[in-house]
Amino acid sequence: MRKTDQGATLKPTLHRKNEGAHRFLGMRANEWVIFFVCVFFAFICIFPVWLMIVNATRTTTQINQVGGFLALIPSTHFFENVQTLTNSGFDIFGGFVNSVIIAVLSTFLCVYFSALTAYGFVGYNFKFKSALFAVLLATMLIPGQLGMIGWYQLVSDLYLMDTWIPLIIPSIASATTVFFLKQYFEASFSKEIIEAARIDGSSEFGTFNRIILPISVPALATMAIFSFVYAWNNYMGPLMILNSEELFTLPLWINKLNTFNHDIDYGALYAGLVISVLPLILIYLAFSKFIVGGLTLGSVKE
Amino acid sequence: MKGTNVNRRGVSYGKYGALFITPFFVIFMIFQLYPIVYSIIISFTTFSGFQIKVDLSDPTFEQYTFLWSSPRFWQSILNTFIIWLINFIPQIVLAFVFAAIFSSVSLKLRGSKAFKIIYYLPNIITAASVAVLFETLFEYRQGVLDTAIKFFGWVGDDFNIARSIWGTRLLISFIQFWRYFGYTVLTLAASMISINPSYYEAAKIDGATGVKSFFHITLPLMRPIVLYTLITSLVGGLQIFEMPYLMYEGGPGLPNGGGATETTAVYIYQMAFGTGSANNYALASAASVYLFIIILVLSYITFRFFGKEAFGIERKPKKAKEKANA
Repeated sequence: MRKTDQGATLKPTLHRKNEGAHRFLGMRANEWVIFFVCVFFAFICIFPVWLMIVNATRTTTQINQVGGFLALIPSTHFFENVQTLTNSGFDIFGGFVNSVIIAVLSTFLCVYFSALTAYGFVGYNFKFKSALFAVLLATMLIPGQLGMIGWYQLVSDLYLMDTWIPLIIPSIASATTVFFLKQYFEASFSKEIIEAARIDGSSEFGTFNRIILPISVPALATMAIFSFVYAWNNYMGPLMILNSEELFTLPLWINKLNTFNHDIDYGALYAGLVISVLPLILIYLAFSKFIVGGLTLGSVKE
Repeated sequence: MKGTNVNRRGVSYGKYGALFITPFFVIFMIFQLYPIVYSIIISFTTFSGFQIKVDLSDPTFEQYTFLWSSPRFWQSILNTFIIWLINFIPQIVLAFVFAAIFSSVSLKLRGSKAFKIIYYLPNIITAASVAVLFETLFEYRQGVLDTAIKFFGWVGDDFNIARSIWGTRLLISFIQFWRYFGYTVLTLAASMISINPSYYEAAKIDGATGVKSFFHITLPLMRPIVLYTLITSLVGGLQIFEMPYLMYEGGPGLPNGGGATETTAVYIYQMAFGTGSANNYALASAASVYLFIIILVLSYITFRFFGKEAFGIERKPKKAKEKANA
């Protein structure tokens, strides 16, 4: 029932009769109730992450002591835990570097080629254009599992097992990114820009690189973040094809940590988890404006 | 921007468009289309890890009939739906509430930007790490949260969540809720904000307020985005893999050979790559074809239910106004 009440508050005029109501710190009583509900949900969202960070800084003895679960303040043993982790053969920093390399390369390919594809669809007319775009849209409905066995066999037949190539190159074809960038291009460019560039003697490819890309930086940044997060979090792909530990990405080390769960000390386990997600959290907090605003990119239609 | 095919001087540029989309489609055909076609083809064979040859001269429906009568496979589909429904229903209802809060022009809520950022945070965190985190937090007699729920007396001392059919399912559903709640709130809020306030003004003049205006204006105008959320959640939710696989490997076991959290994706992975599965690629492929058919049928039903005009389609304010009048 509450949601309907909230729907009503969309109307700017509805609460005008309450204008004179008593306020505390600028919010009315009902706003304080809503505020605390929001705080409660924020707590649920953060609490597990906070527990992970806190426990990563505590020793296993501290974690296991009676009532140890009540501690919500970080301790000082993070680096000891990381030491324990690396000493037990978990090359978490190697995994970190590998994840960065794969995610950066994938992100670059994904964003550049998605923009090129989206621009090809928006800026030009050619045969089978709408049919090809329909194919692209349809792929968004296909479950990843459907191609899983075929992908594994393909990688094996191409002798690409235990390499990063099958994790990086396919980023060129990201239907979702193309779809969002196409929406953005349609809303923000006029063909006069392209005409003007042509009159100035710019090649078509040059126009894309020197005009279209620079003026779309906000949309590209948003897509880059999503694409980075996606590549960083990819688990099933590396799980199927990577065998050598030198090539392991962070999710694979997490997978391995999980199998050794019972032998390893808990502080170290939490420390490993923190290392695997901390870069994402930092990037997210730094670029949250792009991300939170970017979720709506696809619906920009003016 | 409309496509520019021929410019004033009559030079044709169409070929550049075709050229620009070529890399996408080449990679798409190699790494997405070919694997899909390959999977579908081998689902009609008896291909497993020990025989390399893929031969379609004698197609067989063996895999499909086996799955059709396999209680373990049906159990995996049932598990997938149980986990998806338990997380999606509260998620969409609550997301509507919070979207309304965040898009309201009359509420003066402190820190609503910070709330949005916090709510979306779980969505970007590595699924594999989330799975291991929650498993460790709830580990029997060791996990921080396991000790906590026992300390507060919410469950008995002998309760082991990893051995509990509904414990594991509920925990995985909760994690899925935790991961996607913020995403759904932000998507719905963006759509609500874009609704023109004049519709509400008009409805108010006609006497529709509160509940009425929500059901007759907000909801109909948000149909496309609700459909989008439903379809993406469905396609994503039916493929859930990391949580059940990493946390409990699909367990705890059930009498019919399956497990309480063995989702279809976990089943497929186990058949193809799991220990002791004999790498039954043909069977795994057939199962993935079934999964695809289920997703297609359900997407189609959802499309029909929400009306044909829903995906990326113009809003129809007139209709909404008439409804508000009625």
